[in-house]
Amino acid sequence: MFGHLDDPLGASPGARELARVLRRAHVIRARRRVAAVAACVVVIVGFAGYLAGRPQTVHISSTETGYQFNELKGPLAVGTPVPTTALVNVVFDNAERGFALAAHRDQAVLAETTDGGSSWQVQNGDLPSGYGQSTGYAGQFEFVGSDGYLWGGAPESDGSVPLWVTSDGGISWRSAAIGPVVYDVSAIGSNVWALAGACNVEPVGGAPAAPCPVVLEQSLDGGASWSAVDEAGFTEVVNALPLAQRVELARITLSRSYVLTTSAPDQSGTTELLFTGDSGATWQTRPVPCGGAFDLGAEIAASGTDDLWLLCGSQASAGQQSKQLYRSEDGGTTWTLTASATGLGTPPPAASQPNTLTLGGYIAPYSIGHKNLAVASPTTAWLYPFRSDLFKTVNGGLAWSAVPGLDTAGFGSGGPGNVTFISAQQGWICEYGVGLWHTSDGVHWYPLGV
Amino acid sequence: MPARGLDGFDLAFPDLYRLAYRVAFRILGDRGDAEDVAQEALARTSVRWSRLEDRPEGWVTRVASNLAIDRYRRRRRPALPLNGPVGIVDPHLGERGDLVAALRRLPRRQRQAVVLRYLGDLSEAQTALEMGCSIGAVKSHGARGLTSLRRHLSESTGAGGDNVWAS
Repeated sequence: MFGHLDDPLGASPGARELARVLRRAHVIRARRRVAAVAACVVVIVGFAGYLAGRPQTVHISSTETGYQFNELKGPLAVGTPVPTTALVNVVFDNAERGFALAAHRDQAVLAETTDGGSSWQVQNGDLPSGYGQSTGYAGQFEFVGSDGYLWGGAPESDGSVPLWVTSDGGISWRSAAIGPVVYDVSAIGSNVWALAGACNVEPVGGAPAAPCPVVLEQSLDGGASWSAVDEAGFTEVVNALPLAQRVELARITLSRSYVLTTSAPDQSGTTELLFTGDSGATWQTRPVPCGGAFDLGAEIAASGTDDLWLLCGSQASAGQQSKQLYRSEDGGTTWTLTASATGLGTPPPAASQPNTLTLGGYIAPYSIGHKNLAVASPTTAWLYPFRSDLFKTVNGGLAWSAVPGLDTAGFGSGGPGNVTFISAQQGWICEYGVGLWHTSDGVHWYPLGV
Repeated sequence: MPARGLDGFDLAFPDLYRLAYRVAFRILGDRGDAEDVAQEALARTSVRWSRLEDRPEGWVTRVASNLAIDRYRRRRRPALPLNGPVGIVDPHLGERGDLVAALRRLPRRQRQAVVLRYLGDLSEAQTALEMGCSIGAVKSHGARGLTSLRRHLSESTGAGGDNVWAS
């Protein structure tokens, strides 16, 4: 066929050609080995790089379950979506922007929302220690714009319970130079107050704690710098307590504030209420109606300058806790028992009041801080005891009714959570494992992030 | 069929080398280039001998033709002008170029059949084995390929193409 194109001499391969071919084959084999090794190295390095740098955000959304969220390992990257079922504590700066502590594995991460709570993203996946599962995700925080304050975690190894401050929306935190133990913080704009103890927390099983001075610290620049308030009457009263086990700061305005202290039951169980009307320059004591069996813990809230709500609790048992709600319309000078729930060994109150509060669920000190009572106005308030439904009153606390729908959704099942309001209409409630619900009219609630 | 065993490649080497050389020379028309192609094709055959030793002819033919076509394309690129007398001129140089060009225009199966059957001088049965098809299909692809080759070569060389590539 193509014979006319053949070489008339043809080829006569011999040992020389065979040797060349074998040498060439050896070179090809060597190159292939090198290429194979290089390819393996590239694949291994690439895979390692992928594992190290892969975004942890791609397989999870705000509507996934906490189980799937916990499948993500390591410190979560900023922007990682957080499911609403992982939220344990939410605060809102306005109707759109809010922050939350979310449970990820056994640690707490800071999450942010900019759409009213429908979607959440990790803002800081490496918070200071002490806010994780070991303490029931304890910890309180506040945000005013991008200035944030985080406190109340587990004691550090040196016994300090520091206040952490951020000025970039929670991306970075620094320890405030106060304390070493910070009990409570309240910010009004860039004016921040902090109640700090001068002694480290004694380790568990250590020597009984001695009375420790409590200092009121003030910052006028969003937590950057602090100075002790030169007060009169405050230190004398507070320091007279055997131990300020629970200290709650309730600031009404820049000038008017209340401090509620509750000592340990085995150290007299005394509850004290202090009031200042001049930005902390002078303090006066106010009577506290809680007492007797209702001395285990108290919680204070206010809707206005002189409208105070004081909630007292007794020793709880079998899922029930006796409670008393007192109201004051004169800044704590006089109190009126407004509602109660008595049982399980607590005597009925002196004043005849129906049991309009729920016996179920626990308030302080069983719950976390002062997150259970949200007062929106002199008539409207919400109560969310631990392991209980959300209750609402529209008549100043005389009658309370459970908010329908939330119990069937799973709220009150025992996970950490809170309720918060920015107005009488706008509110959010969250519970770990259940999710986040919202009301925009103060009446109807609906889930977010689904 | 080459012998099996550790020395199978050595034993099959002369025949395979001649086969590769023949295919390459038909395309390139240069003894040195054809030897280079044959050595490269046999070196590659040696590397994968364990998989080819049952029937290496088809693989060697295809590799040799591909290498030769690649070398022919590179050689067709503009070269530096030569000074002095020009050496021996291959009288079939134009035909080889037309052959390569025409082969490249054939569909894949037809090109395979033509290369294996006519450049590699494989039998119809061996070509069918290499192509994984029946002998009838080899005949069909080969005939169509040759027809196409004639047509392409006629376009490029004029009516005389039929005489050169008559089957």
